[in-house]
Amino acid sequence: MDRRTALKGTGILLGSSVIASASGLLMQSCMEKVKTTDLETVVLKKEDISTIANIIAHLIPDSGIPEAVKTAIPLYIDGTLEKYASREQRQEFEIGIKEFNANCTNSYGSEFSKCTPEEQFNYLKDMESDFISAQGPTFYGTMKQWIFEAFFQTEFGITQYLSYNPLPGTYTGCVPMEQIGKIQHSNDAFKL
Amino acid sequence: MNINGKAKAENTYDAIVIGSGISGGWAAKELTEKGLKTLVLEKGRDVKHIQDYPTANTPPWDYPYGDRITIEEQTQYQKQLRTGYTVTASTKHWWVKDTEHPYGEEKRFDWIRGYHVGGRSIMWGRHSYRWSDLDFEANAKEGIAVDWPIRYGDLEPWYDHVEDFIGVSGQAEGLPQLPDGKFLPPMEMNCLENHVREKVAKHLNGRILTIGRVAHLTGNTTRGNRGKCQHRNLCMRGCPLGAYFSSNASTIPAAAATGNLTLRPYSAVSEILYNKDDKKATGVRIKDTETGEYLEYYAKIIFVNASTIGSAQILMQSATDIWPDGLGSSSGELGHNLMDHHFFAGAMGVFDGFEDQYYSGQRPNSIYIPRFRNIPGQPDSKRDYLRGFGYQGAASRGDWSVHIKETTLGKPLKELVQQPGPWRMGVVAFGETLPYHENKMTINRDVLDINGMPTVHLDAEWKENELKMRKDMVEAAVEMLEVSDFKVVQPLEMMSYPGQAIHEMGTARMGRSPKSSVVNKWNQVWDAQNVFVTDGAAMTSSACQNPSLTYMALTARAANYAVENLKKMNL
Repeated sequence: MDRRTALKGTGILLGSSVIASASGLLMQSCMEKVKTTDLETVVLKKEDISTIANIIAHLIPDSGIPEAVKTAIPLYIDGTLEKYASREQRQEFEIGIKEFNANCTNSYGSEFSKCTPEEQFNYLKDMESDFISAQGPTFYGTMKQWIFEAFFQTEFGITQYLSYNPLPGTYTGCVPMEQIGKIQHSNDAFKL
Repeated sequence: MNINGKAKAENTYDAIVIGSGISGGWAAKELTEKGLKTLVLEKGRDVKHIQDYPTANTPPWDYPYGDRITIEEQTQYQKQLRTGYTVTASTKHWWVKDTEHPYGEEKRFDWIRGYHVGGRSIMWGRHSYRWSDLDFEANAKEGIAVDWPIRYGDLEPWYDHVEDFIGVSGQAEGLPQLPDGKFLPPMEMNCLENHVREKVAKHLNGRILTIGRVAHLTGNTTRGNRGKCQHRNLCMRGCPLGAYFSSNASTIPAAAATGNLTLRPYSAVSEILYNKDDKKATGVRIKDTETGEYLEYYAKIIFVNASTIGSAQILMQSATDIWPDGLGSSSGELGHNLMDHHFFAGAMGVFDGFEDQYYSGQRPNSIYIPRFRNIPGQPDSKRDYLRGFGYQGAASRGDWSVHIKETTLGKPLKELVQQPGPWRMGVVAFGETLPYHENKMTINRDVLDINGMPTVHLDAEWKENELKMRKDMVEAAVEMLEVSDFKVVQPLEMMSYPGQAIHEMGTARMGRSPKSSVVNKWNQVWDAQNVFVTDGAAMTSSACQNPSLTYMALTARAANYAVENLKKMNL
C-alpha cells in the first residue's frame, strides 16, 4: 500500500507538474492588451468582460485564433453563470471577481484590466501558483477551467487544436503518439 | 365498458405485448415471426429508427456547455440526474421527467427510465454476458430465497439464438462462470489495458481481464440494414447505423417485416383483464395518453415486458377483485425481492509509462473483469460473503483538463495539446445483490402520474452481504492496480443506492412452486398461464453480470413455448 496516495475527488487526474515557463515570460512582453468588446451579456458587467478578456489573453496567448473564438469565451462564461450555475455559484463568482480586482489594485495600484501586460502576467502567475497549491477551487482556477472548457468546445478548438474524427471507423488500441500528435477529442459520457 | 362484437373483433389479436424495450421487442419479433398477429403496446411516444434520433449527428460544438442541461431543466429530472451521466443536452429526450412520472421512496432508490418505443434499449450500456450455473444454482445451494426453475442448459440454445441476431462482440475466455458466446470480433484493448491484463493474470492466479462483450456489430459484420460500428461512441443518442442492438433498429423492424405487427404508442396499460372462470387473461385495458380514452384489447396470450417495476405494477393493478394485491400475488411475492446490482465501488490509478503510446478512434465499450470470488474449486477465492462481482472500466490518457492544475500561463495551447495527460485507469464493480422479500414496491393510488394513473412506492436497501462485498470490491480493485505498477492508486468508495446500476430485477420471480414464486419455468404467471413475464421482473437472483442478454434469451424461449402450446390448444 506504499504507493497508494489518497487524494480527494478527481484532482488526482489533473496532474501537478510545476514547471516555470520561460517562454511565457517572453511572450507576454510582446502581447497587446485586449480591448473590451460590446458583448451583450446577461450576468457579466462590462468591467467583468474586460477582466476576463485580459485573463484569456494570457491563458491563450496563441496567435492565429479568430477573434470570434476568443469573443465567444466570455459569452460562454456569461451563459454558464446564467443557465448552468446555481445562485451560490453566481454569488461566488461576483465576490471572486471583486476580490480578484481588489487584490490586484492592492498589489499593482489598479484593477486587473488597467494594469500593464507585465503586471497582469505577474499577478496571474501568483494566482496560478496559489491555485496549484490550493486544495479547493479559487477564482483564478475556476476562470482557467471555464476558459479552457469554452475554447475546447468551440468548433475551432475541437477541429484545429484537438485530434478530431467524427467517423473514426475503428478503434486501434495502441498507436504511437507521434502518429496522433495531439490530444484527442472524446465523446465519453461517463468519466471516472 | 360496453363493446360490440365488431369492435371487439377489431381489437382482438393473437398476442399482446406490453412494452417495446429490450424484452418487449424480442417478444414482438418472435411472436410475429411465428405467425401471430401481435399488438405491441407502448406507454410513450413512437421512435422510428434513424428519423427519430434528433441528436445523432449533432457535432460536439453545438453543445458548448459540456452537453449539460440547464439548472432550470434539471428541476424536471431531479431523480434521473442522480447517476451523474444519464441526462444530457443531447439525450434528455430519452429520459422521463420526474415531474411527470413521480415515484415514492421509503429509502433512496434511483429509478432511471425512458418511456418511448424502444425504451431503454436505446440508452442501454450494451454489455451482454451469459449467466452460468454458478448463478442459476446459487440460491438452491445456499438456501437463499427460492431455486431458479431453470439451469444454464435450458437457456444455452436461446443465448445462441439471441446472439446470432443481435451480434455480440467479444473475446472467448473459457471461463465456466462466464460462458463464452457466439462472438463477433472483439474490440481492441489499449496498451495499458493489455499491460494490466498481463500483470493481473501473472500476480493474481490467472485472473482474467478481457474486453467487454457488447451488442455491437464489429469486423465486417452487418445484419440486414444494420451496419458495423464506426466507433463514434455516441450510442446513447441512438445509432443511425444501427450498429448496436436496440429494439428500434432490430427487433421491431423484424417484427414489422412479417406484416403481423401492430405497434400502438401512447398506450398506458392500466390492467390485465382476467376471467376467473377459466383462469386466463382475456386482454388488457389501456389509457390512450393522447386522447385520455380508455380502450380494451383482447388476445390469447399476453407478454408483460414493461420493465421490472412497470411489469409488476401492471400485475398489481390487475384482477384486484380476486386478489387485492393483484394478478400473480397469491404467493405473496409479487412486487417483492426487488434487486439491482450495487455499484460505484472500485479504484482508479495513474500509471507512469507508455508516454509514447496513444490510441485512435473512440471505443463504445470497456474492459471486463469477470467474477473471481467464491468460485467452486478455488478455495482461495472464498470470502465471508455470498456471490461475487465483476468489474468494468477503462484506461485512457488525460485530455486538456490535465493542464488546468499546471503552470501554463503564457504557454500557447497549441503546445499544451501536444501533451496528453498520463495514462490512468478506473475500474468499478457491479455486485450481486441477494433477493430479499422485504425489498419491495407497492402501488400508490394517491399520487398519480401525468396520465392520471397510479404510481409506485419503492422500499429497498443493501444489506449485510452487499456491504461486506463492497469492501472487497474496493480492496480487490486497489490490489489489481497495485500489482500492475500504478504509481498512484486511489480507492473509489462512492455511495451507492439501489437503481443506480439500472439493472432492476426480481419483482415477479420465477420459481418451482406457485406458493413461493410468481411465474413458472416458462415465465407463465401461475395464476394465469397465458400471461408471460419475461423481463427483469422474472429474475430469481441477480448474478453480477449485466442482465439484458438473459432477458432476451428468456423471452425468446418463452415465446417459442407459448406458440407451441397455443398450437396445441394448451393456452
